[in-house]
Amino acid sequence: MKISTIFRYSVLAAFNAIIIYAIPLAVSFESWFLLTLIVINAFLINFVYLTNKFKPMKWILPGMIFMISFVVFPAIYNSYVSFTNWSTGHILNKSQAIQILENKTYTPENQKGIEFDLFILQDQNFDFYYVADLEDGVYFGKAVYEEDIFDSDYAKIEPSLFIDGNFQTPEGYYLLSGKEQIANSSTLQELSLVLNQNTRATLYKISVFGASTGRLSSTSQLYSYDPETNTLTNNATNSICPMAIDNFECDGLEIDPGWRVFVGFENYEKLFSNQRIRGPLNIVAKWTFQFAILTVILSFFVGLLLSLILNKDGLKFQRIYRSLFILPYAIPAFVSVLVWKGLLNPDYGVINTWLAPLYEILEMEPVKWLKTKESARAAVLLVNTWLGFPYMFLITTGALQSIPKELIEAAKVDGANGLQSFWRIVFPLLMVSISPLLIGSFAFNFNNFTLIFLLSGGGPPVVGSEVPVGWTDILISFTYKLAISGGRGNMFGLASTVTIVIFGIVLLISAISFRYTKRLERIYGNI
Amino acid sequence: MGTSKFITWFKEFGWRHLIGLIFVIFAIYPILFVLTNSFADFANLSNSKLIPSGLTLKHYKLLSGDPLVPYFTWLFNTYKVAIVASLFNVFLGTLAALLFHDLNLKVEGQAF
Repeated sequence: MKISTIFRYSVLAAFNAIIIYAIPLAVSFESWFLLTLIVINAFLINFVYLTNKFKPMKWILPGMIFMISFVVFPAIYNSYVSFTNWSTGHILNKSQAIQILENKTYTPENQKGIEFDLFILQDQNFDFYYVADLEDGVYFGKAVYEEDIFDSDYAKIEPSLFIDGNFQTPEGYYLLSGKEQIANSSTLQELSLVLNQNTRATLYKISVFGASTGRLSSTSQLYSYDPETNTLTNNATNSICPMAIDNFECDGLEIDPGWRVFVGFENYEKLFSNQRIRGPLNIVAKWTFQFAILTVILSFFVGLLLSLILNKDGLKFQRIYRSLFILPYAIPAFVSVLVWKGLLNPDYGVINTWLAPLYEILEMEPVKWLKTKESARAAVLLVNTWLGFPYMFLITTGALQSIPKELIEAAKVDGANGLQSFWRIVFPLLMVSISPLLIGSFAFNFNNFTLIFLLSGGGPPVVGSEVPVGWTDILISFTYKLAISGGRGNMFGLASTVTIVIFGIVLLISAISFRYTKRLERIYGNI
Repeated sequence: MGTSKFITWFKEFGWRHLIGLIFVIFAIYPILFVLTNSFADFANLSNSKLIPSGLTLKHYKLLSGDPLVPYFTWLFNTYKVAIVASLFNVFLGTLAALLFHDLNLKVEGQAF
C-alpha cells in the first residue's frame, strides 16, 4: 500500500471518529439543523474520498464546505433577515413571546397595600415559619424562597393559634423577637408564605415591640393566552387583546414583546418610501460616494505627485524619501486613526495649536474638528488621504518605472514639451495599470468602517431623523448603527436590508470596473 | 556665481526636496508623536506634546512585568491566531490550486 493511501484512510478514520462523537451530542442538544449538516457533510466527504468517481472534488471539497458555511450561508441568512421584522421587541418567536407574556404578574386592586400582623417562628431545624393574621383567617405555614414558591404547599388556616385575640406559640416552635428578626432580616426578606395560587405573604416591616407587619404580594398571571381564538386576555382589566401581525394589541396599545415574522418587502419599502428613513439614507449614500471618490482622487493625486517628484535620476536621498513615505502604510490603521483623533482634538489637539496664529490673523473662531458637519467631513478626508497616499505612491512609482524611457524620448524628438509628454504618453500608460487598483481602492473605501468608526464614530448626529445617523456615516457604519449600537434598539431587519443595498452597489461597481479594465487592455494592450 | 548655481540646482532638484520634505513631515508626524509619547510621563493621545516634558520608561516596564497587563499573553495569542490561520489558508488554497492543476492536465494535456 502506498503511503498516500494510508494517510488518506487514517485522516478519513479520524474524521469519521469525530462525526460519530458529534452525532449523539447534536441529538442530545436537540439541534436538528446541526445534525442535518453533520450527516450531509459526513456523507459527502466519505463518498468523495472513498470512491474515485469525483476526482477533482477531492481537492476542492474542504474548501467548498468552508466557503458554503462561512460565505454562502451567512449571505443567504442575511437576505432572509432583511425580509423579517427582527428588531428589539421582535427577537423571539411567537411561542417564546407568549411564554414571557404568561409569566408576567400583577397585583389585583383588592390586594394592594393590605397590611397585617406577621409572626415569625423557627422550628428545631431552624426553618422559618410564618403566621399571617389576615381578615379571612389565620394562615400558618413554612416560609419558602422565591424559587420554591411553585412547589410549596399552601398555608393552612389555624384559628387555634389565637386564644382571646392573643398569639400563642405552638408546641415545638420558637417565636422570634424583633431583634432576632433584624439579625435574620436578609434571609427573611427573601422568604414568603404561599397563601394560594396567586397570593403570598411577605415580611414588610419589622417591629421591635409587638408583631411585625406583613404585606400581600401577588403572583397573579397578568396575561393568559387562548390558543383557540388566538387572543390574549389581560386579567387585570379583563380586556381581550386580539393578535396583530407581530404582537398582541390591548386597547390599541402594542404589547411588548412581540415576535419575529416574515414581512416580505416591508423593510425595502420603508427604506425607500418612509421620508424619515429615506432622508438619512440619501445623506449617507451621497456622502459614501463623495467620501470614496474624493479619497481616491486625493490620495492618488498626492501619491502621483510624490512619485513624479522622486522619479528623477541623480536625486539625493531618494531611498530615504521612499521609505519614509511608506511608513503610514506600515502602521496599523487602528493605531494611526486614534492618533489622528487625538491630534484633531479641538481644545488640546496639536492641529488647533498649530493653527492658532492663523485663527488670530483671520480673526475667526477655532475650528471645532469632528464636532461640525463640514469639519468632520474634512477631517475624515484628511486622515484617509494620509492613510491612502503611501499605497498610491507605491503603485504609481512602480508603474512609472515600468514605462519605457524610449517612448518619452521619442515624444521629445517629436517636439513635445514636458507637460505634453506627461499628459499624452505617461498618464494614459499609467492609467492602464493603475485604474483597476483605483477601482479596488474605491471599493475598499466604500466600506471603510475602521476609519469612520474610530475617527468620528459617524458623528456629528443628524438632528431629527427616525434612525440613528451622523453626518460622516457611510453606508456600512450606518448599518452598524442600525443593527447594534444606535442607542435606539436593534433593527436587524432594516440593517440587513441596507447591506443588501450595499451589495447591489458593490456588484454594480465591480461589473463596471471589469468592463472598463477590459476595454483599457484592448486599447493599450499592444504597447 | 554662487546664487545662479543655487538657482539651477533648485530648478533641477531643490524644489523636489522642498515638496518632499513637506510631505515627509505630513507622513511621519503622527508616527513620531506615538513614538515620543510612549516615553512621556503622563500622556494621553488627546492632550500631549511632540516632545513630552518628562521622559520615562515606565510604560515599557508595565508591558514587560505587570501581571495585570499580560502583554506576552497577547503577543502569543496574536502569533497563535496568525500561524494557525495562515497554515489553514495555505492548506485550502493549495488544494484549490491542485484542482486547477488536475483539471488542466486533463483538458490541455499540460501542466498548469
